[in-house]
Amino acid sequence: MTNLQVGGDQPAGQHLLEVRDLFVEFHTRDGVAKVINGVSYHLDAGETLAVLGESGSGKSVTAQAIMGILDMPPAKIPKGQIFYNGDDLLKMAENRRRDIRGKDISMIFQDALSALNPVFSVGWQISETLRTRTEMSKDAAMKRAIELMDLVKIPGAKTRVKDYPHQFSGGMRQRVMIAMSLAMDPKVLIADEPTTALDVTVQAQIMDLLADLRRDLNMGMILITHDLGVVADVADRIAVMYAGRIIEHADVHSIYKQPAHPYTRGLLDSIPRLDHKGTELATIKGLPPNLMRLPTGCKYHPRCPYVQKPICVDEEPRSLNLGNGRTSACHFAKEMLDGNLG
Amino acid sequence: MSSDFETVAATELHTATRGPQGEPNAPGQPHTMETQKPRSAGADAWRELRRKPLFWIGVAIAAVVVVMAAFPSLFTSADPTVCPLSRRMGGPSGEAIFGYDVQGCDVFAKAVYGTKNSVMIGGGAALLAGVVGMLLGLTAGFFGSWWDGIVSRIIDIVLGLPLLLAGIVFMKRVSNAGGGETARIVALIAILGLLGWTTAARVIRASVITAKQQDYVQAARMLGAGNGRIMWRHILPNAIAPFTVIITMALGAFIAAEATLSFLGVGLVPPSQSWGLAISEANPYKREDFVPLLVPSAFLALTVLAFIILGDTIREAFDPKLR
Amino acid sequence: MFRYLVRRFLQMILVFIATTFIVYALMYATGGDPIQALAGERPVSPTQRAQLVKEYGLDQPFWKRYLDYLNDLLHGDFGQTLTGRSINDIIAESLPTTAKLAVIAILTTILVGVTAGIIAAIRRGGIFDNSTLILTLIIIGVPTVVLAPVAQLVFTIKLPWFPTTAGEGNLYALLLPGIVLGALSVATAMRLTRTSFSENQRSDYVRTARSKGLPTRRVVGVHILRNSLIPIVTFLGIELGALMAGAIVTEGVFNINGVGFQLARALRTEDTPLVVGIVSVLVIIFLVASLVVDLLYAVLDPRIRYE
Repeated sequence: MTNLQVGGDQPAGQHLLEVRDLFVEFHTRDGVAKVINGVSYHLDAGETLAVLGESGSGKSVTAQAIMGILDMPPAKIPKGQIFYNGDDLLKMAENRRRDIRGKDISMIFQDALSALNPVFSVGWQISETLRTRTEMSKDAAMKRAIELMDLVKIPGAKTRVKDYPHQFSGGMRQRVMIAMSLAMDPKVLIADEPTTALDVTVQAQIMDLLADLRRDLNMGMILITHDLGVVADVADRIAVMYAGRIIEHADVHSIYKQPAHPYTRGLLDSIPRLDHKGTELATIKGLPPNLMRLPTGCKYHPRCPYVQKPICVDEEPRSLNLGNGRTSACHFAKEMLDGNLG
Repeated sequence: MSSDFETVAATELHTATRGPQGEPNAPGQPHTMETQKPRSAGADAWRELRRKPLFWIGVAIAAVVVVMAAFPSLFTSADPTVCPLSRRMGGPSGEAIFGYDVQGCDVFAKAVYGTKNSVMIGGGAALLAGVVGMLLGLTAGFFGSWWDGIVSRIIDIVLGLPLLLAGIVFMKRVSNAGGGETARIVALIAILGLLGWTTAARVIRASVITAKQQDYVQAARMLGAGNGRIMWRHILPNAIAPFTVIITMALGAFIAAEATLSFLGVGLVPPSQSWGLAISEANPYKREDFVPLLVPSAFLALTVLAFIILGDTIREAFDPKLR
Repeated sequence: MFRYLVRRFLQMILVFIATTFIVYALMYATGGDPIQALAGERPVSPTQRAQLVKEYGLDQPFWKRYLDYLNDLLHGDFGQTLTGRSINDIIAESLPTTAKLAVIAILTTILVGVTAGIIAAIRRGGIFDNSTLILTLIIIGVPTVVLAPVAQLVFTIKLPWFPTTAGEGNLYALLLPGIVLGALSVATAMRLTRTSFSENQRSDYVRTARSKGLPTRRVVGVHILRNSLIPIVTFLGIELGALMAGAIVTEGVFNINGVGFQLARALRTEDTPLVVGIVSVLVIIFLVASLVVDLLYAVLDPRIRYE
């Protein structure tokens, strides 16, 4: 099997965070689901990497593997490395790893209503790590919680710090979640579909907030989403995932200009656009692959409009280096790029 | 299946045997109902059930109990009402495998003949509770508004009366009026059934309210299906699993409640045959001979256990999330 | 919160009136000779009869008598037994013993049931989990009328570890009956805890807590436990009320001079006023326990509190 190698031959420690050739399986009663099949990506300080893919593509699982919050079992990591500042997180002792979790790398989740504990006040939850993981006093931690709530622009933070999650609107709850993740001044922030559960107008506000915070606090941010629309303004690079692999990786401008993988093109074509008025909106036909029984060859071939037999069916495409850090795992990546396909 | 169902079932399990005093009147379940998957849950559950030895143990005991209730003479040739004092506390022999009790009655024969009343009262009360619970739960959930309010208040009131206490008061009244065995059996069925329907009604009501909001029910309504048809074809099938579980467990609970009331002297009275009576008669003499205490105790416990096991295994089969 | 309280209180008043009415009506309403109904199967002399008519106002219409009874209840007066003793005295004498018994039962429930439930939830699917599940099933299947005499036989007669009867009740003597009384609650509490705990273990907020880098014991002991406790505490609260009422069999078997014992005796001696008096007290205790539990629920769950 060939694996996508984004900067894979470089020594560890080049990047703030680097996932290298990661595999994750879920062992269930019905069989083994191969959820991550050789994912590699990296993140530097001060940049935003968008990880794009539909549900089941493995984008969230990769993030959870980085955080070390996968439930093992059923999950298993048979292979792979995750470097943070040059140290392999997967080889670390649990207590050292826990030290990094939530402090150096922190994460925000999709549905803040269920991701926040319903029986504790937001101030309590934001200040929890400060109280338990630092020497900070209760009062000082609460004060810091209010500052953090101000930072994420929750109006009236001082009066609302004792309120409970269900008393906040969806957007405000997500801000609480963000405030909580910033408590320990993380170097890396992983945002797992932070705006999916929100109204469109609120989505934009949260994305702006995240972009501002990323810049002001000079963090590296991994933005996980299934929505190409939200990443355009925020991300520096995009990694597109399909069936547990990164099938295309490029900087935002290149990918929007000319996708190098049929799946990415499918995603781009299915975004409604004002300048294409009157034309029918394209969709990607078929269903996401069954992770228990992945197709042979290219995992996308059953849905690919450009599928060519026998190569796509028989041979899994290597990740082709297209220059400028751009890669694509398609047998016809070059043709795609030159616009000679379809 | 919803967590509500599980909580209710757990409580029902509990209510089952103490000769129940009611159940937590949990104000508003904190967990939301999950939508049920429309795939054939019944077939899945049956496949799951078939593999469980515990389920078959429950089925076997319940079957023996029912046969014993119908044809006690298959199990013993002795007559439990023939109690010559000459045999008083006679030990086990070839004629009576568990010997004779303090009055000289055949211990085993008494236990065998006690089955009928237990099954009749338990079954009758479960049937009554099932019918009342189903009707009130279904209509309250379906029609809502003032009728739902009334049914909910009635449920509150019934829950405010611990089953055992209400049973005592009611049966005391029947005793004072001086009825025969039939009158007491009918009274026991009525009081247990009329006090024990609330859990079933609540579960049915919750199922109906969930089902009513589902798209396929809304669609059926828009296509012009009448109330009766919607309830029968679309709502009932979803409610039937939790309902079955609760009624099965209630059957065990009612049998235990009958025994408790008879033990206290307000259920069945001599010369009726009842496990609770036999236990209460043997209890003071257990220091001298404990076999007459253990035999009806074992019959009672095994019977109640059988229905609890049945209910519990069925519930698990319908709720794979549990395991 | 205020609206919730008011609603719960009104609800309780309705239930209180309805339940006391049912109890009263069942015992005293129509059908046959009310005097004979009062006295059960005992013979009644004409002098007794005249006295009873006067005492119970049997010349008054039924609704009037019920209102008098309700009025007395609200003033804490439960009336007199057939033999002329004050029911209040009997209750005051026996209630503390029953309360002690119920507290032992609840403590057993918490110590054994809740702990086992948490362990089972954490080791879900393991040997401990499976064996306790089957064990609790068996415990639930054994009614108190079986468990109490058999426990007395085994642990006081065959193995004389405990005194056979507890009488006025020193704590050690109450231990075995308390455990017997609590046995069912132990099993239910264990199952409820296991369910509640495992459900919370799967919650999103647990993932969040772990992603904050909190140690497992804090995630389990603070985040999960606090949420799982909501249904458990409400269950225990209701249970305390229910156990008082349920003590009748246990107290009878172990000869403990509590309210259940008095109730059983009243049933035997056909003392109808005492039966009604004790049942009324127990119903009131039960109702108050449910109300307290609902308040507790609101304290534990902010989603209810700020409704």
